Amino acid sequence: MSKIKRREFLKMGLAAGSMMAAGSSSDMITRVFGKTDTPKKMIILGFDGVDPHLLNMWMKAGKLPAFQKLQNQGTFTKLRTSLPPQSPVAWSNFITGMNPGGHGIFDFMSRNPEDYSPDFSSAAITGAGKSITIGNLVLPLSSEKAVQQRSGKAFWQILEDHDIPATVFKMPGNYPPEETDQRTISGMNTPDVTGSYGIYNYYTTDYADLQNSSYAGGNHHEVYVIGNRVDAKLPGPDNAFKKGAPKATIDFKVFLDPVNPVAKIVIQDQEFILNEKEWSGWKKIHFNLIPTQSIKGICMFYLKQVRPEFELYVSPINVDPADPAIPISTPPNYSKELAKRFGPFFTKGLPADTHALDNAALDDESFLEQENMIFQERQDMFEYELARFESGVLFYYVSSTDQRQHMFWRLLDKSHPKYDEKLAREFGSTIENIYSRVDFLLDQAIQKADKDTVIMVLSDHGFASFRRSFNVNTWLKEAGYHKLINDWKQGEDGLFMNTDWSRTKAYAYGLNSLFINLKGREGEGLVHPNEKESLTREIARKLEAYKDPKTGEHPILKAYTAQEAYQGPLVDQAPDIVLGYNRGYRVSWSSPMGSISKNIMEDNEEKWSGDHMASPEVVPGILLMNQKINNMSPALYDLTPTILKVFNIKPPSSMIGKSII
Amino acid sequence: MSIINIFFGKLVEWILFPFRGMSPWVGMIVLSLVTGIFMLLVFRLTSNQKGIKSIKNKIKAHILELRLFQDNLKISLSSQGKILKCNLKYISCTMKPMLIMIIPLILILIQMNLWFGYKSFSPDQTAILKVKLKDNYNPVETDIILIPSSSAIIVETLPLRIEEEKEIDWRFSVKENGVHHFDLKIGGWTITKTVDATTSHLRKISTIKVRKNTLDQLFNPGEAPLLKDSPIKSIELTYPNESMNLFGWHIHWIIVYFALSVIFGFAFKGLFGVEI
Amino acid sequence: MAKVKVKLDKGLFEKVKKFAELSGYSSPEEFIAHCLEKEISSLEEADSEEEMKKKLKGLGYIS
Repeated sequence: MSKIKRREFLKMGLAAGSMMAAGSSSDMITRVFGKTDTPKKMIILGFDGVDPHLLNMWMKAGKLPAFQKLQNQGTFTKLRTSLPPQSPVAWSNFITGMNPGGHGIFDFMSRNPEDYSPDFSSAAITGAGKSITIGNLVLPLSSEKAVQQRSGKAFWQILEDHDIPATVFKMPGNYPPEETDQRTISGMNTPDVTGSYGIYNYYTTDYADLQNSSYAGGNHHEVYVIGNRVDAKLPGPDNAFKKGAPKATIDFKVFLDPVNPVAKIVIQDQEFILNEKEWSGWKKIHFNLIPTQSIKGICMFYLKQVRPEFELYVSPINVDPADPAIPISTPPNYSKELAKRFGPFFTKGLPADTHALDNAALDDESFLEQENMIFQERQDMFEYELARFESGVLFYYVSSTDQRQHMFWRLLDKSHPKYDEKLAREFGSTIENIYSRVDFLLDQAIQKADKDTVIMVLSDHGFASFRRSFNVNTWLKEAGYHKLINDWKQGEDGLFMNTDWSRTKAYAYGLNSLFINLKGREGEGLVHPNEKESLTREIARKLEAYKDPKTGEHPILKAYTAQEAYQGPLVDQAPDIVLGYNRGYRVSWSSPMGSISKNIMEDNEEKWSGDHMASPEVVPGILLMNQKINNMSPALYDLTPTILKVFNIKPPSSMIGKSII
Repeated sequence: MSIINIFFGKLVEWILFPFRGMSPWVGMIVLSLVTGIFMLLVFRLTSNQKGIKSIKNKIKAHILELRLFQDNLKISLSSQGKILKCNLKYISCTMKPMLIMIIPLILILIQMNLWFGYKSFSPDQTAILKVKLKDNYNPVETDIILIPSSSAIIVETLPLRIEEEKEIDWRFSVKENGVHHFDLKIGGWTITKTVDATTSHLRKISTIKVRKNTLDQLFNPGEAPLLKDSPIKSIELTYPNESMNLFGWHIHWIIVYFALSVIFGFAFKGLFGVEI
Repeated sequence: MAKVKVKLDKGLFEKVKKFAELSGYSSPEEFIAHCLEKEISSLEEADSEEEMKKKLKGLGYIS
């Protein structure tokens, strides 16, 4: 090396050094797609489950000034929801401008007619194909992939075709996220790292708690305190690299002080101390599958109690947005950008752990603490997105309105079986509080809007009390349409394990769906296609006529047949009957998973006390805009062409909705 | 023990002194440059330079042989064997400098870890203060008081005592930037532990204070040790780990250090006339 | 369905008979079959259908 070269080398070294130093401060921002300036802009706020009746009441009481302001600027009306009014269905109507006959999402759950097995309706897993097995090790040749099941183009994809940028934040049902260059992050239906809708883990020494052998949505583990120490395992995803796909687990230890209510948790390379009744904040963990493969996740610990019984709650393990194991955003860097700015954040579809509250793994107070963390995070990210919003569309979604109404309706409704006067005094204003917190978000949007900004606020459905539950499969059995192999086993098995398909004419899966056991479609179909229509009408009529012996009311307000309810190419995939429940009623807890309980009607004894599986006219959503509209009774699917109209885009012919401006 | 620590501590401190507060990359580049050159010189003085040169030439010759006679299995096998033998000889020629350098290198790495291994605390961060007692003390029966220097650091939990580990832990949080400290009162003793919550970049952070004249002291030389007869074995703060940021990649400093010293070593071997 | 015979301790069988009658089973055989099936299903939890059920059950609307 000559002297000059050497000097150059040194210079280069120093330059590289200073670049590296500078590199550390450069932020990773995902590219904004499309035009940086559009003549019109649109802010859309999706507040899940906001009910027009409650909103109106609190607006009139002067408690929601931003909503009031928006009404004065333009419109506040009820919004026709989807049939059934389930969030994935309703938001799919909004996403595509179609109804389920067009987009194919009919229920939270779908079923495989061949073997009568249930599945997620929004995403199918494909590609888990061939693999090589070496000893105990399985090496997959193709990897599993989640595939979006909704048909039809999403409105942000149509905007993309016209170069209009959009940020779509946590749109329900958008998992896996539709392929696009727009900034999107997946919403409701995004699984946790175990591939489920969310499973928490709860560690306790309390024998009474462990008597119930199966808690929905959670694993309750028995642990022992030995020498003021607890040794436990955190279960994670199935390890597909090992024969038999055993669960990957992480060992952790908890050290308890012999007297003070504090504990230290040691998991992987981290340790932290919690006081009793304290949350840990996000902890990053990883499940090692084989030496080169691991799955990253984030979870929170809540030390519920140290003594007399040890009780520790661990939240469902969310996908780590900084290094997601499954696709959760487009472009893929978007979730990393948010993680870099905000740290770990909730990625699971519906982040609030409602099951943990129902199963008393969390109490009202700690559940609300978790919910507040979720809402605070949404608010912070909203401020970030709003501040940089300059063109096109910003869609922003809030789940807390829905989740708190589900869990705290019991304290608004004195006739609810779980109404509790003491709790009502303490937590009775929970729902009102979340309405006023989203009012604050709306206020920020109104402040940001200039004269060219269209503001739209919508909810996918309203709410009603859920006091009594209807075991639709039990009703089918009593009415002679559903036969069991062993009658004495009734009420024990789910998934129709006890169903005699050779004699069964109808069955109900999911939250509002009822199917005829049709020859040629179902694996052991019995009903001839010629008889299908009359049988469908017969069952629908009888369902509508059925009365709750306790109240004298009809649990089913209307039983819709697919043909009368839906339009579009996918009508033949629809359930044969869609059940529209009456106010106060819903499908029972176990019926959606193919279980035939002993009684047709039951009181709802869960804290999950508000619901919206009713007939659509019972639970309309809300629509507010900062301009007048030309439709007295708009529906969710009308809003999609309305968005396109703002940007002068002609809606595709597959959309059944019509613009309301 | 203290003398060794003081010597290497001062050495690294002296080299890094002008670069304090700057990006850690500057200090890292300078340190690896200086130590790289130092190692080159040691290598020249202590290795068998002539031997290395002749072995390298032999290796070159055998590689040529391999290429020329690649169709002749016998010759290529024998030249491969010879290359292997030369490699072993090469290693033996470099053994002496390696042995001479290894101890000072480890001592330098221990010092460097204080500068590059940890981040100082930032406001609203929480951490654990861990006290380990001598074996004849029971943490549950020992009276120990923790006093923060100001409201800039707040103790958030009651003491957590782990008998089997002879350990007492507290969680604390940092509220303001600055240099703070905790006073620990135990028996008639008052022991101080500094809490670094400064914002300046390259600075020395001592995570753990250990007892004087123990092996621990050699490996944890960051601050003045505890006296030998103190009831406490060590006090530790769980500082967050620091890594070197290379265009958004986070790399452990030790990897950066080895990579840079190898690069500098090769870049300067001609200048110093060293045969590697 | 083909049937097989299983031997039971006489004292136990008397108990079975008594409780089968008390709980409304049509025969002691039915009661025994029921108990065994219950026990087996609790042992079969790793079954893939159970797994699917568990995953879906994360959904707040069902239990």
